[in-house]
Amino acid sequence: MNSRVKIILVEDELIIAASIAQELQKSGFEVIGIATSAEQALAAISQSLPELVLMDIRIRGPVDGIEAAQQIPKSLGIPVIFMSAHADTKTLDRAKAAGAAGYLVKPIARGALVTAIQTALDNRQIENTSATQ
Amino acid sequence: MPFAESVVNSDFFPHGYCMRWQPGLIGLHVVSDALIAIAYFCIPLALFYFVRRRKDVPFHWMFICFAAFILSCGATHLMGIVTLWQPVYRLDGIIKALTAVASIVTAIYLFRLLPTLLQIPSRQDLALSEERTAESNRLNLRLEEQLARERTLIEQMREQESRLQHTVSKLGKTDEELRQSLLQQETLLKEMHHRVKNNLFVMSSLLRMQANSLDDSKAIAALQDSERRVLSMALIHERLYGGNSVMSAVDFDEYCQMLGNDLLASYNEDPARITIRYQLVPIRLPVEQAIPCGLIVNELLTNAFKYAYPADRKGEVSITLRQPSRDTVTLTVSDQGVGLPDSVNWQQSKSLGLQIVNLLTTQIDGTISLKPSPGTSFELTFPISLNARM
Repeated sequence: MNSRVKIILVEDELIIAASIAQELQKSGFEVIGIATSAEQALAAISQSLPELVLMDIRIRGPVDGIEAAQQIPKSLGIPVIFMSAHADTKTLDRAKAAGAAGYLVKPIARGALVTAIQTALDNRQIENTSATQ
Repeated sequence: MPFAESVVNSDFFPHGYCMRWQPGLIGLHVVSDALIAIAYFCIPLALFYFVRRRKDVPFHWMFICFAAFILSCGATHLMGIVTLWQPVYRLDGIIKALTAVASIVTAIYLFRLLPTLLQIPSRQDLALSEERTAESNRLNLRLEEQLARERTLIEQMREQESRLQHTVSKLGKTDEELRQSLLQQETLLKEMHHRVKNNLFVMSSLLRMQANSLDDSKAIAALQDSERRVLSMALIHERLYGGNSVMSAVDFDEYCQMLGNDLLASYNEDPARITIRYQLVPIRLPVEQAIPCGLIVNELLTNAFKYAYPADRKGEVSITLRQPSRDTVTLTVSDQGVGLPDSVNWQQSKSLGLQIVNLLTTQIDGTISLKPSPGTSFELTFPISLNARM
C-alpha cells in the first residue's frame, strides 16, 4: 500500500520540505509535488490528484494552510494532515473545523509522520466503505 | 397829602371826559380792555400751572418773568377801564411803571436767553433725533444680540478647548503608552533573537562535540559542515539582536564579511594561503531572505575553501554584493581555482551543499548561474523583499 500512496507536500521552507520528502520516500511514500503557497498547492492537487496532502499551516501568501485545505473540493475525498510549529487551541480548533485528518507539531519524528499518514488513509477507507453501503 | 392817599386821589378829570362820554366809544374801550385784562390774567395762570407741573423745564424763571409782565399788562388794561370813571392816574402810572420794569426785565432776559433758545431743536430735528435714537436703539439691540451670541460662542469654544486639552492630554498619555509598548516589543524581539542565537550555538556545540567523539573522517566532516550551517544561521540572529532598532532586517554586507572571515578561519590554518576579497554594497535584507542567502553564501564559500585551492595552492576567493536595480540583488562567489569537474552537474548534484543552494535559490525566487571563467563563479540574482526596500 505504502509504495502506491501519492502525497503532495505543502511547505514554504524548502530545506524542511526536502527533509520531510526524504523521510517520506524512505518510509515508502511517493512525494509527487512540493508547493510553497496555497495557490501552488491547489493547482498541484487538482492536476495530480494525490491520495493525501501534508499541509504546513504557515505558508507563503495571504491564504494560510487551513484556508487552502477548505478550498480543496470535498468530492475529491483527499485527507489533509496539518503541520505546524504552533499547537495553540485557536489553531487546533480551526484545523478541526477544516476537517483535519491529523495534526503534527514540528519538528516531526518519522514514526509520528508515518502513523499519522496511515491513520488518515485508514479513516478515509472506512468512510468510503460506509458511503457505498 | 400822604403818598398813599395821593395815589388814589381822583382830583383829575376821568378819561371818559376825553371821549365826551360817548357810549359807543366808552363801551368799545371798556370791552376791549376788559377782554385783554381777562386774557392777560389767564395767561400767567397757565404759565404758573405749566411751571409748577414741569419743574424739569430749564429757565422756568423766564416763564415767571413773562407771567409777571403779562399780569402787569393786564393790570394796566384794567386801570384803563377804571380811569374812564375814576381818574386815579397816579395809581395807573405806578402800575404802568411796574409793567415797564417787568417788561424791560423780561426783554433783557429774553434777549440774553435768545442764543440758547435758538439752539433748541425744532420738531423736525426732534423727529429726526427720535428716529436716530430709535435706529440707534435697534442697532444696540442687534449688537447686544450679536454680543450675546458671541458670548455663547466663546463659551462653547472654551468648552471645546477644554475638551480638546483633555483629549490631547489623553492622547499624550496614549502616545507615551504606545512608545513604551513599542520599546517593550523591541526589547522582547531582541531577547528572542538572542535566545535563538544561543540555542543555535548550543546546537552547533552539540554537533562539534559529536564530531569530536567520532573517528570516521567522513562523519566528522559531515558534522562539521552541519555545525557551520547552524553557525551561519546563528550569526543572522546575532546581527539582529546586536544591531540597531530595525529588528526585522540585517545589514547583509556586514554579515557576509563576518561569515566569510569566520568560515575562512575555520577552514584555513594558514591565513596567507587563501584570502577573501570583499566587494559589498550596503544592503539590508529581511530575516526571511537573510537566512536562506546566508546559507547559500555558507555553502558556496565552503565549497571554495574546500575544493578551489587543493594541496598548498594559494589563491583568492571573492564575494561581490551588488544592487543592479532597486528591486534586485546580485551575489557572486568566485575563485580562480581548479573549477568544477566537468562530470558534476551542479543543478542536479547529489551533493547536499549544492542541493541546499538550489533549494534555497528557488525559495527566494532567485536564479543561480555558473559563470564561465577560470575557476568557479556562482552568480545568484534574486528580487529584494518589499520590506527591505521600504
